[in-house]
Amino acid sequence: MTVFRFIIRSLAYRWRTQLGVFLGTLVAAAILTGSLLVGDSVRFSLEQMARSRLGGVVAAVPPGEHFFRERLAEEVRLEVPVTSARSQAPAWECSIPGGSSLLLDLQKHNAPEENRRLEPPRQGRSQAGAWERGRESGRGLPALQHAGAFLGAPNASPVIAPVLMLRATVSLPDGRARANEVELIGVDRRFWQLAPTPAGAISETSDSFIANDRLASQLGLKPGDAVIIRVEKPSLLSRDAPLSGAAENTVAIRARLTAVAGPDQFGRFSLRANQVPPLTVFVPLRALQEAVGKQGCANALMAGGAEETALNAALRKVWDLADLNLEVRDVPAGAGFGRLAELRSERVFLDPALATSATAALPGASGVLTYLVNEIRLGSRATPYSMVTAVGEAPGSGANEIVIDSWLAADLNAKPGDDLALRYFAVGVGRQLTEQTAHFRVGRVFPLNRPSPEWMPPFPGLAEVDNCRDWEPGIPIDTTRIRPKDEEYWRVYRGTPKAFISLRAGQALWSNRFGNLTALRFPMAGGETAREVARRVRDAIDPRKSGLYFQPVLAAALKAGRESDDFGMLFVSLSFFLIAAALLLTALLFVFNIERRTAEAGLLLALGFTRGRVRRLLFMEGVAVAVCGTFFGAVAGTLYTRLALHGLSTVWKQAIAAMEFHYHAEPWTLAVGTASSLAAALLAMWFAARSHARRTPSDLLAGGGIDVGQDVTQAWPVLPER
Amino acid sequence: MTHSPPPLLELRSVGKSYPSGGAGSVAVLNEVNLVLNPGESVAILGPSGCGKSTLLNIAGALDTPTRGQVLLEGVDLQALSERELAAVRNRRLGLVFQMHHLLPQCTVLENVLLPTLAAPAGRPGPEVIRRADELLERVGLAARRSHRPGQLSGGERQRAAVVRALINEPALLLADEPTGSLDHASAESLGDLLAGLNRDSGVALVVVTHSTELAARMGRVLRICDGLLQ
Repeated sequence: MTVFRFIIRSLAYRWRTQLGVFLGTLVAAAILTGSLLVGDSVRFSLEQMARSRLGGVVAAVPPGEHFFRERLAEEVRLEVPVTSARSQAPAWECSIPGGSSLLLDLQKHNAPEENRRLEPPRQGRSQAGAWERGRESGRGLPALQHAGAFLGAPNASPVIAPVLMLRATVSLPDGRARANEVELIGVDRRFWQLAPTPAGAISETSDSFIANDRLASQLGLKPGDAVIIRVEKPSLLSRDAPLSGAAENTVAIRARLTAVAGPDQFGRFSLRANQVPPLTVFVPLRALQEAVGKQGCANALMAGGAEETALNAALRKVWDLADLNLEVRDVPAGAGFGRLAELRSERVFLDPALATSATAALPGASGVLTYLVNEIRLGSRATPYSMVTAVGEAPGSGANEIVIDSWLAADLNAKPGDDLALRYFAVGVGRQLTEQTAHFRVGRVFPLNRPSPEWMPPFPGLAEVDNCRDWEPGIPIDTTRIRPKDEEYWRVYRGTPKAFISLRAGQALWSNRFGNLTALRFPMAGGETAREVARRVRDAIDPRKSGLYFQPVLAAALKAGRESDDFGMLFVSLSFFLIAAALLLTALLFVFNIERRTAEAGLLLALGFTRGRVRRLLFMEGVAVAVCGTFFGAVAGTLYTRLALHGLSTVWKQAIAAMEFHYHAEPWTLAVGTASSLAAALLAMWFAARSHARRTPSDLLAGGGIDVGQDVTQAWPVLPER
Repeated sequence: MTHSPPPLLELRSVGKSYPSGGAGSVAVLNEVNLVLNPGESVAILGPSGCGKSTLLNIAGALDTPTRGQVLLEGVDLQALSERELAAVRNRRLGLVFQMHHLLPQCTVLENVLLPTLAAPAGRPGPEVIRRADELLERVGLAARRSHRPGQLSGGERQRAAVVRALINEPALLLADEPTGSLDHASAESLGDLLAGLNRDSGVALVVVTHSTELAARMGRVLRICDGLLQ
């Protein structure tokens, strides 16, 4: 006879009562553990989604307003130091069983760039099997490990893919089906090196394309089907900007589906976290560049196998003014301001942050703002559509003075002191333009000796056309007002401004959300070339301020997943009353059991047991039941989690925007859930036992006789008799 | 000069009263005095509700007197801590109840060995088990050692309870109406057993009973009347 044997005997004899305690702890543990595991599973699923969405992309220059040189990708790659796998391997690389052989095998594939293909490793059957299984099942994890291993290989070069990302509509040739808001992504083979697994090769010059599974499903596409992809030709300048050129300029691309990209093949690729997969079309980068007139350009970079800081350091070294659509050029001699250089943007307006940096770094720099005014009027005489430049301090005595050339003076019959009315379009909300008028007093008339079209920025639809009647500046133009003399002026002088006002006055009229300068002019040092000036300007500008920098998209996505709403605690909160009820039931049944054994407690005291020992004996029975209850509760909790996830994937699918959840249990969460449940159950029992009255042994014995149980078979024969 | 050993049990002016609602109380025992020497046997008779069991509970350290002193082998029980009292109950006293109080989940042998679990070691040694077997043999329960209480007759259960009371070789055996729930034959048999134990083992015996037959087997017979032991 031992204490342990005594406890087992008691448990077996009173199994019906103990069953209630057992079920109470089981239910509490199942709900608590299960709720916490729901949190694990949601976090895991979000992480899986992020990895599936980004594949091997660790950092990216997201698509913005700039179209930079496609070659920038290669220049950055060459500049990024080759680092060890330890420092830059994606986190999931560590989980590859037998990873080293896999890494080495992949390195072979990595050698000649032309032959780079992601294929299953020939050595290491288990890894190859996992790769195949991942590809076949579409579950993703082995495939993700594959990409991670590739990019994390020791001494592997980083992969940086130039990408052209645009918005398009895709429709069937017969017009039966159409998808809007499609992500049209021009890629080359470097992009697929970042994919979890390759979706298939698309020739860089062919008219083939790859659709993701969602788009293929929406349009009912299968390989070989033709579609029409319509995309608006990208403009360097926002379509909302004044003088941004023709509003509509779409191109249609006819292409034939070569493959459908599933979730493991970048079918969910997107830089934006979204529970719903985007509609995506992958087309050859070169073909897309040619179609939209952006040869040699990209607007996004996807990088893998290198850290964001190293990538940005490399980018900072190799970027060029052209990557921000900037150029520095000599202002032709005799323009009236000595030997000057000019910084201007293909995007017409200089980015304000960038202009501020450049102004601070270039001594003597002065801003220029040239604008197309609709009309310059003096009394009944008016000159339509003229360039007016705002530059420098106000000439003469006031801010509202205007200096005009002799051509305009003759056209308007204007002389110093006359009041000129300038009508122009101001930018409102969106593309809204309102025509406004400003008055200036003629301060001086200067002779128009020669053309000075360099004052005019490269307004789309203006700069490249020969006739005023062909203008497509993106604002309403009444070509009937254009006179032969205006055409002649354009032919001879092009965009030479007919008038100058002060910069302050010009900015007061024409500043808009896209900028308040069209150029920066600054003096060149003696013997300094435009190239040297460009270098000086480049060094003064931080491309980050204009959005040209790598962002740690993978880390951000994983962080967002980790810091998302804690579904575990949410479910715990929702189940709080259920857990509390289960614990209360546990405590009540435990007390009930104790109360029924009052005489037994009195007997033990009478036989020489101390009060503490009796309490411990009863409590240890409770502990044994609670341990069993919480253990089985933890097992039941995993089932509860699976059930909850099944519910989320079926009944509550609409509530979670069709997200896919995968069951996942962290050992630590299981341990915490089980331990918390056990602790809560024991605490409930302890309080219940503690509240038991401190009665004398004689009182307890008088509380009732001990039922010896005539039917001894009701007890479970858990121990042999002795 | 030699000191005579103290009596085994001595009750000095023991009184016990219970609150009866309000500020009043009901006195059950008044000025009870008793001296019991080792090896003595005493029967306490009295009508129901006269305080016989209360007296036995006080003597057995299961209850405390309202006033007076209870000395066991010269030690004042009221001066002992709970742990020390438990040790006294375990090592020096043996208790037999009218309702035997055998644990239904344990076999007869396990019930007999139950007091040994109260010791710090918490596990009976082979000598104790041998002693239990001998005692069971002596009371005619050797064949029932592995039976559960539910499988025993009333007399057998009470004999098993007596063996349990004797397992730690107490100096004093206190029996509260031991034959109260038994038929005549079983009561006779149990009376023989108790008298034999007192005679052969020298264990002192205090028996509270209604049975004059059982009382007649004891060395002394005392009566409780109006809370006084006479």
